[in-house]
Amino acid sequence: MKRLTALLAIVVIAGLVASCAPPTPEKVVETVVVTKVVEKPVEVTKIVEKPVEVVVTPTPVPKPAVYKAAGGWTKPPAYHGSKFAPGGVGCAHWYVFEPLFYYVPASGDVIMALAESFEEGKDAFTVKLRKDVKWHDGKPFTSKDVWSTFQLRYLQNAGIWKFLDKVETPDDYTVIFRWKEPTALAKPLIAGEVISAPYHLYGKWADKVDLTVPPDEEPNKSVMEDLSNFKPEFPIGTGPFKMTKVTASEMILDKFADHYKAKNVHFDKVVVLPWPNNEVVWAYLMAGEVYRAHPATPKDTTEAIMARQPGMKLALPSDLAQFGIGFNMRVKPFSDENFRKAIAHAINRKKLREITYYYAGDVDKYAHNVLTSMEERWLSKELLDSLTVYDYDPAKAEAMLKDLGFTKGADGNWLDPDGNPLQWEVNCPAGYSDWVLACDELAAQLTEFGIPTECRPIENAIYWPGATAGKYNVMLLWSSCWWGYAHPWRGFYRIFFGDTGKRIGCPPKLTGPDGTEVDLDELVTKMGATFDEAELKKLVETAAWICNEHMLELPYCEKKLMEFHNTAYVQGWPDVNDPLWSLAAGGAERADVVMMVQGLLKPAAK
Amino acid sequence: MAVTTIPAEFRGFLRRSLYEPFLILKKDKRALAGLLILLFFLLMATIGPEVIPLDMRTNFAERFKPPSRAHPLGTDYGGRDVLAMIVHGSRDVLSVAFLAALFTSLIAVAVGMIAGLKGGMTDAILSLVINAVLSVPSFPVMLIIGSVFKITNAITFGAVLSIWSWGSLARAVRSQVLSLKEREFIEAARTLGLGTFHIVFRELLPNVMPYIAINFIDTMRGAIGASVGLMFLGLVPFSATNWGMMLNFAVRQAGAIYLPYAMAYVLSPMAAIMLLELGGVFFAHGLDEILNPRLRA
Amino acid sequence: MLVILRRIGIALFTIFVIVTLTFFIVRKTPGDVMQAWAMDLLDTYSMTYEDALAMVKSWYGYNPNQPMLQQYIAYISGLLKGDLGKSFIYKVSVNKVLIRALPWTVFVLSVSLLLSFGIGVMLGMAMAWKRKSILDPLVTAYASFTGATPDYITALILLIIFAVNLRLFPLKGAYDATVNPGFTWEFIKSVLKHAALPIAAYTFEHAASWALAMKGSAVGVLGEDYIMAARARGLKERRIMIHYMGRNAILPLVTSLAISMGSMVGGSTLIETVFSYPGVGWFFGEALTKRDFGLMQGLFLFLASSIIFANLAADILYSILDPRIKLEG
Repeated sequence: MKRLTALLAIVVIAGLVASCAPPTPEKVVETVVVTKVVEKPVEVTKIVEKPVEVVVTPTPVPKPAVYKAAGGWTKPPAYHGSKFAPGGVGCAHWYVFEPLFYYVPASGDVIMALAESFEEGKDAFTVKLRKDVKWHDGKPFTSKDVWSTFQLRYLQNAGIWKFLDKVETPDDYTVIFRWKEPTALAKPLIAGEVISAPYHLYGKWADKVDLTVPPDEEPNKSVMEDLSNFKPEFPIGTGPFKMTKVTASEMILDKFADHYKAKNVHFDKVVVLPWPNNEVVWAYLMAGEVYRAHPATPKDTTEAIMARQPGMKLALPSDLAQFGIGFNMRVKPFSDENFRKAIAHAINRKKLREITYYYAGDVDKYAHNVLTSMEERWLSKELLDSLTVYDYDPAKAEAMLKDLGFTKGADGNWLDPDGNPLQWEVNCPAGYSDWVLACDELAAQLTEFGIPTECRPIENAIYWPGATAGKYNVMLLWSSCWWGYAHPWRGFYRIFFGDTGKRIGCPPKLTGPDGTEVDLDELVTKMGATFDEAELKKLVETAAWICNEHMLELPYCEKKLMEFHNTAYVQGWPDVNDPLWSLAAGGAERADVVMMVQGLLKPAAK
Repeated sequence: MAVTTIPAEFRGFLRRSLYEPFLILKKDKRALAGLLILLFFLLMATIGPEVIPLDMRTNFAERFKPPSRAHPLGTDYGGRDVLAMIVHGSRDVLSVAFLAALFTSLIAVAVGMIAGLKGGMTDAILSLVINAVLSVPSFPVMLIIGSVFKITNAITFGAVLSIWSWGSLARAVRSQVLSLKEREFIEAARTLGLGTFHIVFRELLPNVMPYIAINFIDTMRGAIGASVGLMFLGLVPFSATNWGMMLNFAVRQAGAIYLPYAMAYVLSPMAAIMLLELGGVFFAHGLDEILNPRLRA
Repeated sequence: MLVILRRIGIALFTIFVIVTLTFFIVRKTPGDVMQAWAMDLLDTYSMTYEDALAMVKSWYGYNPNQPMLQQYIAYISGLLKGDLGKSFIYKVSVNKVLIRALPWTVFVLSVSLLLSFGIGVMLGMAMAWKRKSILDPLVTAYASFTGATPDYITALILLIIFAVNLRLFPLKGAYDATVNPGFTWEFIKSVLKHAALPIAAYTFEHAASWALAMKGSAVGVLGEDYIMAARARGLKERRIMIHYMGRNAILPLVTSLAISMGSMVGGSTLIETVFSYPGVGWFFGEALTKRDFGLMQGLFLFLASSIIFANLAADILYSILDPRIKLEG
């Protein structure tokens, strides 16, 4: 016992000593007063000759301007710097790598990066590269690097290769993308690819890729396997920041002095904090430990954060994605579209959105799967007027159900035409807590309507394949998702045959607005290849009509990215309605980096 | 009357098992308090839901209201009355937790006793089983069970919860039995020719009981947490009135921990669980004296 | 001696059985992890589901068509060479993962465990000894409170207090990123400072349950004749409490402590999630949710061995501490 007490005493004393130790200077990484615009960050050499024993505040050196964000990455020792093997790079890839240009979904604008200019043609897309770009290891950037990146992306089945025939490099600073068939999506497709495989590091694999053979056959299969063993310590990119340290709790990036726009970048360091879950990030935001983050936050917590950090502002760019309720169309009664329409009126979508994701956009009128924020741009008023409105109207739902032969039993619950009571289950992936909330609310709403429904979340790895196999009758899904493309083609592809389409059991052909049968595959393919705005709009309207009038699935909210940004530490943020924020859809760090490279963001003056 | 016609032996049994414990409880304030708390929960679970109506419809405008006449414990993220949710949740939560703890204790005591008493090959095999249950991860086991076996009521729920959680307790019981079995009173009982049955139930069990009793409440509490885990795995339907789930959502989804005015909402499920544990431990305190006469000082 | 050797043999056999069990159980777990992984990537990288699935398939180093028995034999033969295997997803060897992450886990958890055990045991003894005092209900109330608060809430509360309000302790990580690991006082100080909150969270959370367990065990011992005899002999109360009651009561807790010590190598999700402490727990979690069989097998083998050998050590220790117990072979 005595020994135990002694041991305990030692441990406790050690703990106290550690916590009472005077704060050491190295802990100071707060923001700075940058009074003069510095052309190049001055590297201050530390005075190291004689260690000064007395603990004193260090002689004032210009503190580095640090930008703090939060994100996710694989923990060491599984971490590495290659985008071609799992566990690599993580959230920092937008700081470290750049695409040829950035595409702003909200406005359709293009912001140049590695490219100086481009020319869009039907069969080819020609890009002229900047001549002053260097890689983080000092080597010059040429067209061969672009070529090798795309070669390796072929091995990864990148979406762009469905349209791409080959990538040509007639000279060091010209790249020509040759299309298999014409595509109107060239700009977003190319903007979505960061140039991450410099030839001097990845060339030996890029050279071996055989484009005539599918990626999972030889020789490509062996190349991929060999490539996945290449694990550089840090990623080497062309971006304004280069990675210098990665631990389980921090990612540190230093400013890349040789970046072609280095003088616009006013930060010396980017420190990324880990994102274990939302609650911790809320604490970081409140404490001013993180200057920008985008956790999905309920209304009251948002207000608490704003109260704690008066300089905090919130931008709400659309993530260009919808959450929706899907029905299994393979099974009765969901196979009857009139039944689905009746149920759609029984669901209060606005309430669903309010409870689960307050700041999301409403989708409570239609089910046409063109994002509400994009409605005006793609759908004419006439079309909208011709669409059925699925508003919350339980009386209407009741009437419609009765027409279909459903009756209400003595207990107020519905019976199907055969007299059997309806009893349902709503399923969702258990890993997304806001979806679980929505699932529960939906179950409650249906139960109140008269269909006793249970909420049953399912473990993610079992849910998705289960849904694809048609195991669930009422489920929560990703609805129309455009993400970085801002093109309706993407959304409709998903609803008709993508993973969502498979899960709801969408049929291949459906009647169109003029009464004839429309082949959905053809429709969507044409959408992706049409350059003519007017024709494209017509196709989109057809698809929208089909989705709505056949009630394929019921979207209930449009996801908005809650971009918290703290003006007390960083100034220069664009106004919350500025389209630049939409760059965050598909990669929040992308918006940051573009704002920084344009010279907008600076450390806040104290 | 009836009393005189009851045979003396039975009277003695009644006295030992009902009257004396009752006297002890009356004297030991703490045990009495514990008993009252447990009875309170029993009442809550049985007639509570009849007395307090539950309206699970959400009302965003009423969310996070502090305690008031209308909502003694405030409202949750959906504007629903917290007190009603706790009362209605108590039935499922308590029955499942109790059954889980019961099954766990039964299995652990049985396995631990047999392993400890019999020794030799039996002990070796049972120890192997215990070790397997301790080391093989429960996540895949639960998923496999879930795919094979649908949980439909409190009994099956409790059984699934207990199936992979009795290992630690079994080991503890086994060590206690190992130490007890060499003791004089066991030797004495053996010499006197008292059978294994007597040894197990009259000698060993009362000595092991205090440990089991304290662990019982602990296991119940663990079961409440584990039931939330099973809900997230999809093995049981989601229940918004489950105390563990209420707490989980309050902190993780609703961020209520950051809202001072929503404190009642966050603290209520915690307080319910805490009160349950408190009641159980206090009652176990009295149980010690009942089972171990030498403590009745 | 022979008995101990036999027990070691049994332990090794047990490990073998458990490893085999785990091997087959994890492969039979329902769920298609590649689809789930692809769905996770969609959102992060703005890909179509088909692209994400194709990418994931190209990464996942597992050939499901290889017959299970063959996989099993390959695995066992690797084990015998000391190779714990490789993560199928990250292609990093399990040995490397353990070397990098395990020391942190062991450091934080062993300190926490010993601290909470020590505090708990002392409290428990006092509670059992002074049956009628206020200590018992107080500690019981504290135990109930920490019991009702799941770990992640305790940790979150600590984080909020020390992040949002006071700034006494670092909030994340094992040591300050600007300090280089090495045997310097600066590094050690940084490590201790960063370990303060995780250890505090764990100890605060678990000390009370040790107290209750100790009390339960001590109460059983209290009725013993030797206690009465010691009192009759006029020994000091404190001495009886610690040397007579305490030493005997602590025995069953030793097995629990052994199991906890053994399980410690499984990492602590609480500490690693909220404080982003670089322990093995993260890898265990990844292994399970991503069904990374390679990682799972290696890590769980290590965990199982740790638990089993800890139990063996506990049994041996127990028989040494309590001479009445025969160590059975």
